[in-house]
Amino acid sequence: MEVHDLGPTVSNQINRILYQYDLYPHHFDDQGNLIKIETYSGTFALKRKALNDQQIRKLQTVYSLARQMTIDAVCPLSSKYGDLIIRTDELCYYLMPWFRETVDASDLLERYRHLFIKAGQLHRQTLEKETECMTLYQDMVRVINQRQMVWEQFLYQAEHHVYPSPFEQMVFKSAAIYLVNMQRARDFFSRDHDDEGKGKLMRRALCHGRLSPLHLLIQEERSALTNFENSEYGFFVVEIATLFEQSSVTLGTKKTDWKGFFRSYEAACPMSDEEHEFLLHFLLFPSAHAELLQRYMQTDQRSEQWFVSRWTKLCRVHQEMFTTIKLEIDEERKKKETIQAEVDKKMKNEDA
Amino acid sequence: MNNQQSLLMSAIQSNYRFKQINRVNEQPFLIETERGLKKIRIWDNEAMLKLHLKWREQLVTDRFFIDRMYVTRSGLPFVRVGHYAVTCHDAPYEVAPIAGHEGLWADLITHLMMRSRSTPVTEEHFSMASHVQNVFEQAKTFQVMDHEEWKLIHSCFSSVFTRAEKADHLRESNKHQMKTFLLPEDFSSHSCTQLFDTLFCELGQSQPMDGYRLLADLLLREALEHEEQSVHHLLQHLSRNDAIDQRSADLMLAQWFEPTEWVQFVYSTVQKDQGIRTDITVQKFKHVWDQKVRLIHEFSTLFLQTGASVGGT
Repeated sequence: MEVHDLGPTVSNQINRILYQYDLYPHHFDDQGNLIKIETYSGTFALKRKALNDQQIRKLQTVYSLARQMTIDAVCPLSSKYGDLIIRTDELCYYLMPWFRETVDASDLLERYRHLFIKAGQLHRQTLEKETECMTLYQDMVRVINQRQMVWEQFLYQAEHHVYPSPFEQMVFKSAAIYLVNMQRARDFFSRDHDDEGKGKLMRRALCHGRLSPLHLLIQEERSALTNFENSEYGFFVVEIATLFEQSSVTLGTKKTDWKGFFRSYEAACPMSDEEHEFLLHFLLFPSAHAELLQRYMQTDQRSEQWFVSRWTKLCRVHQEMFTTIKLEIDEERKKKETIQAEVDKKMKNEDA
Repeated sequence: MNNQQSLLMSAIQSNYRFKQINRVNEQPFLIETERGLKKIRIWDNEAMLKLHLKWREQLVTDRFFIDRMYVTRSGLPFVRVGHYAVTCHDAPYEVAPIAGHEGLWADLITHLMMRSRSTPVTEEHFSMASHVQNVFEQAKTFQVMDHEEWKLIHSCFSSVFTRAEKADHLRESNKHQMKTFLLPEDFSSHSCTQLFDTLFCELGQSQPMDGYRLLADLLLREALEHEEQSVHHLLQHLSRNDAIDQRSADLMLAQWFEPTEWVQFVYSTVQKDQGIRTDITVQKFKHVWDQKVRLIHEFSTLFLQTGASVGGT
């Protein structure tokens, strides 16, 4: 047996795990949290990570959905004893089919393109009935208040400096607009009841919990989500809004097709008007900005240049993303209104 | 192959994910597959099967293999064939005697003592002291007093009675425990084979019994039939593992204190008097007795807390 990078004890431990799948490897390749296993029955990926009972239960839920072909996900293979996860004293192991990825991990644009589609498909395929979302709205208000506190603390400190630093000056310039936006978001999320006094309703679906361009396997045109251990049912609009925010930070100044991302998601999982509004208002109080302010306040050895450059990029990309999504939503609303007007007109004519 | 066997083979073929199967042995029922040798177990008691399934779940660890049930194509741990349930297990064949594998055996026993715990299936409470007294009295009525063996029986009685009382005392003081250590009734040194530098332990399909009794008997048998030195090493490993707590020590000692070899010797003498051939000789009785004394001594030295004492033998 050819064994690479593994000592005899580790190798035997891997053999013991693979024995539970009746697999006898002829080659191992340890790649950190993942071991590539080559056997005469095929190539597999043995994943190694710490999972708690709750995460294991979540994986089992997703596995059962994938088995029923409800969702398209790369899930662990079951052992000969029917186990999805092999638990050791410290870690858990699970075996997956090996994906020969055709998109490099560094090609984030392409990975995000696939990710928005897969996220939409996951949400659409597991849609549940609308449920009251009062708590969600209240949580949003709490988050806004926390972020506003960070902003206020930063501005208070900066205002008391005789000579504000270049970064502080830069933040001053954009503070007004962000504070107004936060107020708009707070106003929106404070209205957790509709005009008739009923609690607002939102749709729920299975949320991945850790959507990331690295939790996606792409082989040619086929792509599938993986790493479902944090998945759970919830208001999926939060997950997609967070994904937009995350991608704007990760992709930075790369030329990003925000319109394409939004359209791909909408094509897979069309959002309601309320969900559109939620998304737009969620994007009005970005976490990355508040985190950068906090980091600046907590860091002694500051590189002003780095903070200024980071702030500039964040603001630019965020604005670009927000504007594109808003335009798309407005356009869609207009289209809907035009169609509705035409329908109304037609009905009027018919009545007449 | 008769009808029943071919029905069984076809059930295995269609329910498990084996491409090809060949029957290679009947007792135990072994089949050869492209994924190695497998053992087939047939269960006529579904309650026992469920108990065994749960038991194995309880013992799953990455440090040892347990003879868990293969799942079928539909994900079930057994196949129904007529009134029976059929299960499929791995069947490694590399023997793993205690001698030479003491460390592994000690680790396995430590694990089993911690995890193989449940409420006992049958609770037996009887006084060993009364039992030996009765046996002694009965022996007198059979008029075996003329025998050479009687002298030995008689001279040992006082120690036998003390040992029985100690066994009763140790059991009595530990009887109010909800859960106890369990092992399959047929647990022996042949219950384990070796695989990837660890043990493959077969729980088999017999009913769970008091693990302390079975373990004490296993160690005694090992010391009698094989190497005493290997039992010594095993006990050293168990001591290093902190496997034996006060209760476990008491119950294992109780088993060795029970003068079963004397009772068997008395029965054997009575039977011999009635012309029935028995295999309990004076020599064998003395051998077991001495071995128990040595085991009790070594075990007490290793595992009894300071101040606790079970007395001499």
